[in-house]
Amino acid sequence: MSRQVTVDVRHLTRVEGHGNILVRIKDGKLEEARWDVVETPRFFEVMFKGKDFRSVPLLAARICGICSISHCLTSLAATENAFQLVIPKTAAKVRLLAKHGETLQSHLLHLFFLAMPDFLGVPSVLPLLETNPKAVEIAIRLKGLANRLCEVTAGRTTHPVSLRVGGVTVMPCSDELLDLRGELEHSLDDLAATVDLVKSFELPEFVRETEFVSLKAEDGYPFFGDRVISTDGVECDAANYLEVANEYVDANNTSKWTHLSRGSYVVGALARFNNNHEFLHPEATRVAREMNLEPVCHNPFMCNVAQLVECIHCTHEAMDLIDELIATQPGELTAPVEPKSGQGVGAVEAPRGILFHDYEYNHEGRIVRANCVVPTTQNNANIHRDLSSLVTYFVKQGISDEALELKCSMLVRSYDPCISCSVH
Amino acid sequence: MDRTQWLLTESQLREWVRSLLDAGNSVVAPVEEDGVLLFRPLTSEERAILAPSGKTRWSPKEFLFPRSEPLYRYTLDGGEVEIENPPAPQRPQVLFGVRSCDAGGLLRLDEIFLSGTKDPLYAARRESTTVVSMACAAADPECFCTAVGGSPVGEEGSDLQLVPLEEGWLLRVLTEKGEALFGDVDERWQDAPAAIAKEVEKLERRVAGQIERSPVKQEWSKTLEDGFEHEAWDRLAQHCLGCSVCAYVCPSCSCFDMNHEANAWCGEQCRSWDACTFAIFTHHASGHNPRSTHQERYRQRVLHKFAFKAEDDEPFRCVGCGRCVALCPAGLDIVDTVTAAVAAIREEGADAAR
Amino acid sequence: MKYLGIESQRPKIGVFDFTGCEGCQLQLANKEETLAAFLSCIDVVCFREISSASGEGFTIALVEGAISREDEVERIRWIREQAEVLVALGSCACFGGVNRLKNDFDLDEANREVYGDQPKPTLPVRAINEVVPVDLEIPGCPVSKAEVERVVQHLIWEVPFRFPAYPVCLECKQRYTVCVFEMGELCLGPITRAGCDAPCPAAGLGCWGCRGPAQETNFEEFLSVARERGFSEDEIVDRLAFFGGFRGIA
Repeated sequence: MSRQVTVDVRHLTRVEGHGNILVRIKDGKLEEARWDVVETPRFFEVMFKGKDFRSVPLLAARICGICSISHCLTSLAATENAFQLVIPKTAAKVRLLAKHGETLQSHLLHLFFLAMPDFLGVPSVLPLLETNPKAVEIAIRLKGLANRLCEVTAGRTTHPVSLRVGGVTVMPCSDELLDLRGELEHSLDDLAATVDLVKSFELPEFVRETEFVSLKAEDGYPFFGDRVISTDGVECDAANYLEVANEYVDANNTSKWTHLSRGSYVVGALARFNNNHEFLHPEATRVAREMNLEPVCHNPFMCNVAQLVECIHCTHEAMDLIDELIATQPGELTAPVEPKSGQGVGAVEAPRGILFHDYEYNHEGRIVRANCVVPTTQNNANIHRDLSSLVTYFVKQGISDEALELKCSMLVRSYDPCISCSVH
Repeated sequence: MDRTQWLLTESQLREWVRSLLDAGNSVVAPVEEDGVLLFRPLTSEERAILAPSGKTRWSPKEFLFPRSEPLYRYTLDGGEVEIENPPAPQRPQVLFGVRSCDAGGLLRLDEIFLSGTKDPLYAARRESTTVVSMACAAADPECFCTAVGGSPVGEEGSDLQLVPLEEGWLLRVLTEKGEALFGDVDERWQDAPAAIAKEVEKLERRVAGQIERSPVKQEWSKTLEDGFEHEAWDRLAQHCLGCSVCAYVCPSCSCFDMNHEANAWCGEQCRSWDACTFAIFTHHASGHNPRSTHQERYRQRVLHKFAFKAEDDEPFRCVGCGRCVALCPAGLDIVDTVTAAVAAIREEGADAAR
Repeated sequence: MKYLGIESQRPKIGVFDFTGCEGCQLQLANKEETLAAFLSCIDVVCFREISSASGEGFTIALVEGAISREDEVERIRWIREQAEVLVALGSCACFGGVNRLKNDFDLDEANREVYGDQPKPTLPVRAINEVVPVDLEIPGCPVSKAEVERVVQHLIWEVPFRFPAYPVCLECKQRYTVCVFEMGELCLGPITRAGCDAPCPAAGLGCWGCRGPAQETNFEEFLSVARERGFSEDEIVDRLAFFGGFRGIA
């Protein structure tokens, strides 16, 4: 078969930031399949230099508008490690609650607004306001609740204001927490309806074996931590993240690429699930089984399902956290902060995967060197490699040109790339 | 009306507050929230702070004149318009533990909202409000009520007054409205002897003695008005940041702004507190602003408290609570400003050009 | 869609992003309580972040982000040509935002530091209004969705709208926030345009000036108050520079 196909998607839609897909098949032979991030580079690592430790978490948050809470928390962890600070227990709980709010907000935004239109054959969520209002109502309710959770625990939904070096500045009052708990419990019905909805999606059965990297579970499904593991058997301290990421520059990309045990690796919901599934809330595990998500899953499209499973986990864990916060005296919310010269690495599981911030401070508490390795940076090489396999796989099945373009786009969207993050 | 007075213990006082709550009153009293003392409707008599150290951060005026309130709301449905008026007060209100200066502040608000054309929203709330003041056991560093004609045990604006004594409180009825707050007086309450007045005087002398500000004199009002254009104002007002904290904490400031908040389906006309130190306070629709510099705006604030009177013997509009002095981020002190302005005007003549 | 009994057109809106975090675009999908109503009165013809529909012919362009590469210059010029009304959305679009901090460094060196021997094209960061004329600016990091709604309604139905001219202080007072100056924090509240509802001071964080200067501020006095309270020159300058809103003043 002498098929000629060119898929040329400039500025892929329904992803955060600017990336291009280019696929060229000449005489039935795959010549080129590329995923290139062309987003304008931002140079945050340079901008961090000279900044006072109090402004650092605020600047860090601005790396990403979707996962600003994760960037802020990772930044705080890096600074607190550099200053050898231990934050109060209550502060840690409030931060985790904020983290869950963000994970829910981010995953739900992706599932309903970015991914769902592909499965329902529409260009965006907007036409669904008319054709499938129930799904949109559920989306709006769930996302609204996730945003409220962020607001109560981090001061606002985007670019948090109450997360501070040493702890947190605001303890949500128990009335607010109780209200949220009730709403979270109530939202389980909406999540169950979402499970039914996602079950009706036809997820492509495409598999390419790769390596999955995440934080290692210590005392629960990990969102914060200091050990990194991979499905290829790597285990190391998060402080040695440079040996995990092995960042390098690609000529066609403003985002760097990474590799570990093989040519590329994956971070994110699917990686967390593959590495730490036994630590999920039982209800989340039940849903994973119900949706045929089994470790180790190498189908990148199943990331959508893993995100939904994490939504259920986070909702349950958020309810438990609220119960704990209400039952105990809050005590101190911040530890005293004494700037010190030295280096610190923070590692957090952002919605899209493991995120590292690494700072070196001088004795005045100003940054002299900074490095950030963000989730989408780590996924880009893997997306790029997936594309070749995906195109080969589907062309063999005689897919139409148009459907091929859609499959390629859906593949990239499954990773929920946060592109402006990746060119920080 | 015969003055009625009793001596109350703490438990009796709290019991009385309980009975006010049980009778369906909204009892607004000083409570502590996140380390800040402020007036809040009580859910339980236990929360009320009966012997506060220092004054509430905000005066109680917002319970008569809210920070922001809708005057009306409407919804649009095609060409149909439905207008909804704000609800009338649902239950009577007791402002409890109001300092003498703040009680005086409420009277200044009455002058604005009740004389001439009555403001119906304010009038309805005022009508259903009884003021129980609390004489001061001590002056705060910023206090200067005695410098502007007030007293730590002043009765102005109070329907009932509590006076803290060494043991317990003296409760006295000052108005019919205050008297109406009692059903049957608890027979266990102990009548206060007439000699108690001596104790009150002693308290007044002691607390007034703690206030070290020299008086602002009535005749200064005219001096200030005469020196309206005096160059001293440039210097005296240069530090004002225009942050509005003075107007917000002031028990007598009554200026408000009107805003129309609307979308395509509904809207509301809203009245919110304003502050004369804001740049757009007197900004005209034409674009002209008669007070276009912060010096002019700050001068307005000072003169509105101490000058611009209809009658010479009219009391000052400043009641001397001192909150604006304590909280100004630039450290402006209205008494110092007035004193310095008067001195400059007298020394250099009213016409010293700006 | 009827307003005051009159049938109105849904304006065609395009949403575009440049150098920034895309958080302002996200706000457009937030404020869930009015999201459906908001979407029902506009026709989103182009919004890459959430839609594959790439309809042409937008009349209103909402633009997020700053300009920091040659292709962005071309793209914003094209958008300017197409749009009847160009609205700069957020501090990056209005002032350059935090991106502007990059301009303090030598760009070749910055490039070497991040990309080694494979430098990427980049330009000094500029606000949208430094490249093309802008009709309306909605500052904030992120923008307030309520304000975006008001601006859009203003554009559709000429519902009167004015940006708050007063400083953030008013909103702190309105929501009972204790002045963070009193707690020993530096705060740009007295000189920064309100309209955000002052979430930062409410969390004990001073204002960082993301909405730029309020109307007629007493800037000199603000500086001397900050100095008197013991804040260092570095700290004050850093703060004023953070979102780029005070350049030309500070």
